Amino acid sequence: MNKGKRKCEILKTIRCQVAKKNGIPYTYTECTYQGECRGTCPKCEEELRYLTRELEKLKKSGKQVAVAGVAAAVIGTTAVGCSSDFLTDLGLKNQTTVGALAYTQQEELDGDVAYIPPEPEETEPPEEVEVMGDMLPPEVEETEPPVPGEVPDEYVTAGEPMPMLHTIYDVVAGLQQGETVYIGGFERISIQNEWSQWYTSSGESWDIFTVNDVQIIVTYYEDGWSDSVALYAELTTEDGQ
Amino acid sequence: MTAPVITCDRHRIATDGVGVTTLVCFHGCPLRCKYCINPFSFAPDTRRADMTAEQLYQKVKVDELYFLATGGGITFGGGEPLLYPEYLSEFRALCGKEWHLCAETSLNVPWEHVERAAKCIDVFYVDVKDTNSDIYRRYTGQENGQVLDNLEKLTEVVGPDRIVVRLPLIPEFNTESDRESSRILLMNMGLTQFDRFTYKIP
Repeated sequence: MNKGKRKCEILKTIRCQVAKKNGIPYTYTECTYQGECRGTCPKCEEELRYLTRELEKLKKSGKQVAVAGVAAAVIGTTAVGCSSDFLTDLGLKNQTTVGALAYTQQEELDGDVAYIPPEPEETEPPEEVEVMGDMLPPEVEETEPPVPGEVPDEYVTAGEPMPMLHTIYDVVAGLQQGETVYIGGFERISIQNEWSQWYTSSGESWDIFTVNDVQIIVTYYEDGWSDSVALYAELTTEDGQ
Repeated sequence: MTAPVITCDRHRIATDGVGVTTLVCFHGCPLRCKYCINPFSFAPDTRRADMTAEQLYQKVKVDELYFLATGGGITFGGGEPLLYPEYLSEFRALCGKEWHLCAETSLNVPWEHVERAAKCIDVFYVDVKDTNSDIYRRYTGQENGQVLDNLEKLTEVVGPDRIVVRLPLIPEFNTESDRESSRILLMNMGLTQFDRFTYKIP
């Protein structure tokens, strides 16, 4: 299971446990997307908002809600990208990362009425996945496009993924509004979608990575260090918004 | 007051500590580390959002359910988050005591900043680089006397359980022997939690 998928499973498990603990009707939809993902999507976000709203309703009606720590065990046995010594100190090293996630999919909770979330936005890539480089018009393609799964040497400079920033910016500049591009195959690169969202969109959906109305989904390959690598800046629109 | 926020990274799991966390990075850093992974955190032309603590809180609280359910919260990084201790304090007042707040810091800031942060931060991740002053100076361009003084005081104030010391092996700058010397010195200071790892370089 890739890192994004695992994160998705963890977050889903947390939502399930909170819902169950508070008697909130909640049934999740099985994700059928097979490729690399970021671990969350509009559907997951809607489920989170739904639970948050339901918990607020319970609070306002004077009922006690139980959230604190109800899913601590999920994380406790799920070591995603955590450095080894710290995990050892926490007593978590060598524990399973999968077993804790086991639960019955499409589980209907006791006495619940299935929650049918709004029609989820498209989270699967189109059949022809557009890979970085394919989108570039020849005149702006200054470097060889990276091959998925391989990291061009010129990008692997210790702690300085800055060349990637310009490359991604170039890709964005070569796209038409409304297009979606999937960029993948890079180690040590973690695109922080919130950054661009803060500067480019109205804030309707906090997790959508959008630049110039182009939705960008970036995948990356875990190498045990990528979580520490930040790639936040410079993804700006042409008008600087 | 506002602080220059570079980004927020949601849904970090067991990366910055306990539970599900959101990493909030600030602009500004007193160090110039040779292998800095976030050079834009001090680059003058880096875009940033000058946000009030309230604005930041409104942004990140979408994940409150995850934070509370897993014992997670916010990890402040950067850059150097302890450049903004008042901001951190304001944020704590907004989010309440249930969120777990961490700071990834070099501690190379005035003690008053650390003291202020100690009142609102649950766990400090302190990247000491190397306790050897020559190594530290070569690697960061700064002195480390303030770091060690602050670390000693912080240990007295919050106790070793709230401090995780990062001890990197820095290629071409320190050795395993240097790192062990640092660990022994810090253990004698009362510190008990160490995160040992190796910086990757080309």
